[in-house]
Amino acid sequence: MALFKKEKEVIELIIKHLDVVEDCAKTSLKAGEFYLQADISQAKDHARKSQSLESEADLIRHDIRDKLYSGAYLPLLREDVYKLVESIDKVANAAEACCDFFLNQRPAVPKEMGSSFLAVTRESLGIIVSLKLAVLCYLKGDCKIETVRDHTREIGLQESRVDKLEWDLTKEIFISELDFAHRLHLKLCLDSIVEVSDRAEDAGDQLELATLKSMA
Amino acid sequence: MGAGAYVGWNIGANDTANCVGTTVGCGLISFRNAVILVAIFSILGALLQGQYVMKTIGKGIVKTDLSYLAVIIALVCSGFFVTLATFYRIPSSTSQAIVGGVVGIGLAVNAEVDFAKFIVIIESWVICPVMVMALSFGLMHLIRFTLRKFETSSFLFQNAMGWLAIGSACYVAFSMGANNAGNAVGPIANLGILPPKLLLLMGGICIAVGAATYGRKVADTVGKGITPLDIPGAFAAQISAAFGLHFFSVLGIPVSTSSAIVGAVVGVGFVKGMKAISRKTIMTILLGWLLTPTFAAAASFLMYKLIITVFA
Repeated sequence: MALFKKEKEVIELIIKHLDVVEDCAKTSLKAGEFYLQADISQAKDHARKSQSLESEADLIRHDIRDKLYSGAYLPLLREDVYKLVESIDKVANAAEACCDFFLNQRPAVPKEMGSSFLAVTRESLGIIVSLKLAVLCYLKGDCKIETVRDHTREIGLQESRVDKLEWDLTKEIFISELDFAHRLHLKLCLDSIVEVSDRAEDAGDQLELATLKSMA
Repeated sequence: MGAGAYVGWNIGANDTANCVGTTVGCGLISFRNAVILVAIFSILGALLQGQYVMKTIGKGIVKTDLSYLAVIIALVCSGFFVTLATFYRIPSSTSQAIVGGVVGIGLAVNAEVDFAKFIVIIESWVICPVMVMALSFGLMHLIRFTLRKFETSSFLFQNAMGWLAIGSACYVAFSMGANNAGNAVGPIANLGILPPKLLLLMGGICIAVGAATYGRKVADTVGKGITPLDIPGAFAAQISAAFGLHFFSVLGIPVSTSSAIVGAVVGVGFVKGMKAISRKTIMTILLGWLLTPTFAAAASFLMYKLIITVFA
């Protein structure tokens, strides 16, 4: 149907963008897991893949921007659509940055902290699953508003779990016997891991805002 | 013709806001695009359905053929008070001003004034906003109920709602052309200068020019001053106002576009709760509605008497 053709093309592109961002986050998660299990070669492969996925996501985002400014959607909605896409894209950026941190700075994670780092990495980068579910639910328009909001709430809850893990691990790092530079480096590594869930939470907030706007 | 064009310009300047104030206010389209839509649809409304009100203004209230001087005074005095209201950003009524002006001049020339018709018109000035308010109140409840029942939303859905709101703004512009073009050219129609259709086209074009040159001021009051509207609210307000205006246009009764849209916006505001409505703005508007026809009638009457006394 020709009605809202451009708008539907934008939706298809957002879904494609979301798929690539999800792949990027999952690949970054694998890279992190391999790194923490000391399989550097596999970690490098996945980090490279994550980089190329992030670039791909950027290209799709540019396509979406061009489509929007060539007349898709009413001006009032364009900003909301693009803000959502931009916020999702930041999740891919954060996931790639996390990979880069592992592979570029090679933080020396002590064995006793390995499982904690693994847990926080899985929880933070795994948040993309909830985010994708919420965004798809909204974009396809076949979910009730309350269901979309349930999904966004789930993103918030997962981010809180990440915060809890971050708190515990930060404490573990700073009460350890490691030298201060080492402790700071591990904390920076942890910051880069939790950045992913922070960005996903922002994207969830943006989605919730769009949902609220449509409620009469 | 110049005086008629002046009134037409006033209608465009003051009433553009009524057609698109809510749509521009909620950010759906730019004021520039809104003016283009108003121009097209008000000309269409004037051409296709402007003849009913033109007949009422021309011969319906004052039964005698008015002289050139009387027509000019009626039009200029009515236009002046609408210009004044527009300057102070008060959405006043050109219909009320012109009816006031025509009655004032009718009394001044000792013509037969059809007071029964005049009372019907005055009654419609009360009935129209109340009817439209009830309509928009009901429609907004219906939209809310539907949205909450299906509880679905997406960018595509919001986009579709936005287009519906723009479509309803076009309908208001059409109804405004149908109801108000006759106000501008009705008194001239009896002078036989131009055929009625051509006069209505001229009225429509003057409305479009007024919209483009001076329509922005009142748009802010209607769109944001009374109650800030979202997309469904703008749609409900506009479709209700357009329906009310169209209804009275077909009956040949000149009603106020301002009162229709303000009534509709208040109706939507009631659904959101009384706190959403700015009472100060409403009081200013009510005062404008009361004073504009009264002053227009008094000014037409006194001006005519003065000119006749001085030059007789």
